Amino acid sequence: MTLPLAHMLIVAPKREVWWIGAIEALVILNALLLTFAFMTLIERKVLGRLQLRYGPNRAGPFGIIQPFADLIKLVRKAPFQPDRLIHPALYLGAPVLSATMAFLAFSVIPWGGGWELYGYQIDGQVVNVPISLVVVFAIGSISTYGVLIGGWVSESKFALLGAMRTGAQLVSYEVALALSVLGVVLMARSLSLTEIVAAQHRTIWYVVPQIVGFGCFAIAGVAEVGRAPFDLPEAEQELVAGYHTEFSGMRWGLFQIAEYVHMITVSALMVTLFFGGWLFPVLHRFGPIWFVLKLAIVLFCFIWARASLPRLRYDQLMNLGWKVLLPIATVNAVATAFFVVLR
Amino acid sequence: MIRTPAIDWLTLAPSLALLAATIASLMAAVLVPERRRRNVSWFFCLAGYAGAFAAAAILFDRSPHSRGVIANALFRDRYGALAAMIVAGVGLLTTLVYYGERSTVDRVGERFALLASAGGGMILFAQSANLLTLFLGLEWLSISLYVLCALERERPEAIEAGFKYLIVGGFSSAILVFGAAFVYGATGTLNLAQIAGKAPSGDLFLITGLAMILVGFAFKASAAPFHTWTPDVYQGAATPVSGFMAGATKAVALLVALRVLSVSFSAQEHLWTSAAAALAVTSLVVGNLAALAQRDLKRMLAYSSISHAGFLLFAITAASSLGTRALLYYLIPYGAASVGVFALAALHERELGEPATLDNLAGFGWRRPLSGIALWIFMLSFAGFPLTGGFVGKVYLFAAAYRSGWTWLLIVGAVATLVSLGYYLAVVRAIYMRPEPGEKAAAKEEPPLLDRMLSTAVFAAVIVTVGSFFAVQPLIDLAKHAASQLPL
Amino acid sequence: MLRNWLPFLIYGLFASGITGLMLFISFALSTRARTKPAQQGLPFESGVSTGAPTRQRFTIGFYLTAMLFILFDIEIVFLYPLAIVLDKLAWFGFSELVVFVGLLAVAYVYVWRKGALEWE
Repeated sequence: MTLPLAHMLIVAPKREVWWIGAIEALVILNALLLTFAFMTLIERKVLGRLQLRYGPNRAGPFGIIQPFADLIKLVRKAPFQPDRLIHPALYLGAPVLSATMAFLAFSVIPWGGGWELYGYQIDGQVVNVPISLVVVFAIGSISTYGVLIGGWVSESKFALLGAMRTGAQLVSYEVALALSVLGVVLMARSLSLTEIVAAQHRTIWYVVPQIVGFGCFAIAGVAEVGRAPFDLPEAEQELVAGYHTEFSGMRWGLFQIAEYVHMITVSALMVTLFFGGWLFPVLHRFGPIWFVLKLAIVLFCFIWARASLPRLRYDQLMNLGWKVLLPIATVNAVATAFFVVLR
Repeated sequence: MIRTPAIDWLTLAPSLALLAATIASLMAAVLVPERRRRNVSWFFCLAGYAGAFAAAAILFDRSPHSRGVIANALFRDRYGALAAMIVAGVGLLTTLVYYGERSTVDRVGERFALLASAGGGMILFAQSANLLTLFLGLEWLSISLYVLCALERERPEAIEAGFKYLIVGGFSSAILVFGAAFVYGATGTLNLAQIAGKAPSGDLFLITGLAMILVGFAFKASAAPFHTWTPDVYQGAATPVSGFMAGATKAVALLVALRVLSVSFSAQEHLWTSAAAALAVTSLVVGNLAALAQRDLKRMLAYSSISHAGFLLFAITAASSLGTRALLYYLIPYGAASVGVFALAALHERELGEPATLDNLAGFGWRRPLSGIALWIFMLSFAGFPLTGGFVGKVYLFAAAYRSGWTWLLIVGAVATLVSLGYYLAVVRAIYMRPEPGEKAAAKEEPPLLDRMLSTAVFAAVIVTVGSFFAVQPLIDLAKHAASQLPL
Repeated sequence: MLRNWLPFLIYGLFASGITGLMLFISFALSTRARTKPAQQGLPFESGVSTGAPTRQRFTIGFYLTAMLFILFDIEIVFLYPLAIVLDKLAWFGFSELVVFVGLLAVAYVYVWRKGALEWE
């Protein structure tokens, strides 16, 4: 399996069969679920350490089975619905939609170069389409509907307000997010994430020439997944719990899954677009390992930001998105276009 | 390497001038200090229309042969250039009239930006050489007009006008684009020149598409039975805007309709001429009879514009070079008179602070002798009296219809003209032969500059209306050059 | 080309299966209270409950933001295809890009000065 890099990048179509895709899908989905589960634990541990506390340490050594305890608790929680739902099917469908779309967005992220195993071709990503970058944004946006529907259908003041805020925040930062990536697309001349990774191998990690775009992407990405310091949708002092005020048990858990998987997807996207994806200057064959390592660093930064930064006010949030990030990202895109054409 | 189209800047120049004016006045509307906002925005709009008129005149001069430019997206020809000149002329007069219109401070600049934008869209619409640019131009002009109608949102009538226009206009655009899709399905091309001959002349999809496109144009030209939005919109919109819609929108809608029908659907001529005849008769009947019953001046003018759509449709019914010439010629005095009469309505409204009606017009002719004379000149031009361009235009239209064998249409037209005297002369009677309602109408003094702008516009409109009667030959020559470029 | 989307479909089926299953087990394996607390179904109101708010109106700002989003998202939709072929279109493409962004900048300046981006 020690293929030269060129073979890993330009994978010759060998025998592709559908069940390999199915196996890959199952592996990735379970990996995502595990990452989510332990993210909740690691986040609490790290937050604890950063605030000079211990964090969860009762369930198992170092609290390692805490996520499973949480899962059992969520599943066992008595199901109830608010009396005055607008529609029960929407109430149950909203979290499912949110979580499904969060999972789906990750499917196009490349995490390896592809291998040949017993004559079968195994791709380095579940779905390899030429417009994978657009797919991530498109699917990610559908997830917003889950939040909006969930908040609206609950017929509760806080949930509705939270949903409206979330909607406004997500669409505001969606613009900046998509524009900040434009520089990368211009340089790689492709919307395929696989191609973008390959282009970075040929030249340089795009974080160097696209440092401005990276900055915009990092800020907009954090806002897009609604994490601190942009976690206004769930600002507990103002909104109790935001759009999922009226959700409990696993319905609430699905919203949590959606949020964390989104965070993982955005981190993976950041790694792919700006840090060379699964590639590393040395030891290419360990593609997935490099990918996971980079991902872990970015995810740690997410937690770090949550521990260190105070939450923004809503008007500051909107100002930052519309009056700062949008012009900067646009200028960055035009400047990049200029240099691309100049060369 | 992707092949990029060669850009013919002269063809684009009229709409680009107005686009630049739109941008400049929009920026002036927010960046210039409040005190000078109106003047600066207004100036940019005026300069844009003047530039567009000049560019269109040069384009007319330098396009002796019709050809498609910019990847066949636009026609470079005299027909489009003359249409652009009519639009720019009407726009120029409207800008003058619009200057003194009352408005709240926070939207004084935007209206000029929107006015310039609507004109730019109309010119692109008139020059379009494929169904896509045609739709683009249509939307560009329509959306600007929707907003322009509703701009004075303090008045409920303005909101109503904007909303009605938006709904009905959006509906008609949808029908038109649906028809374009049918045509594309039948022929596989969007290019106007290539549509002809691509499908059998009896192809059901093609004919469905043709019918829907025709309906779309009829909406925009406010021909009955697709006219229902017109009275409310003309009444509710700011008065100069109504004049602009009557003079320019109707003109481009009819001109583009004639172009599309003659260029793309020459094989279905028998169908669309009959349809145009039906539309013309309906418009004449509905417009004239309803206008008789109106007391509100703007409403009456709206119905008069519907009946004029009927007269102008004679040109499409005739489907001949003579008809095209007549249409192009008639649009010149008609556009001028429309702007002029709405300008006088605006003047009267500004004096009274209430809508102009036939009742409160009493004594207008004695109080303002020159404006009174202008008003009756416009009315006579609408009615088709000699010494005004309306007379020559109507004669031309009737001759074209007669030449193409539509004798019965001629009779309907003659009766309609007689009926129309009933309401056009009612206005003249109202301003001279009705007792003035005492002290109530004591004119409030206006700042002199506002008056001057409006007077200039009215004066220019009078010159054009009367001048087009005396200077028939040069105008007919213009129209002849332009008309010869349509395949009729 | 369409074959590339097959794994997407499979993945989507699995993903919805997993989330659907989670929803299902939260009903199947959950505990049930013997008696339902009387006030449990009321919307959360931190103490003084006045029932659910019905059909309240919202700040126009939210709708305005949504409209601006459409405007600028369309911008991005246009720019992505252009970005891919920009090196082939060279300066023609770049000037198109600049004109397009310039027009949007006009709208942006207008919207900003009109105060549509302000929140209170």
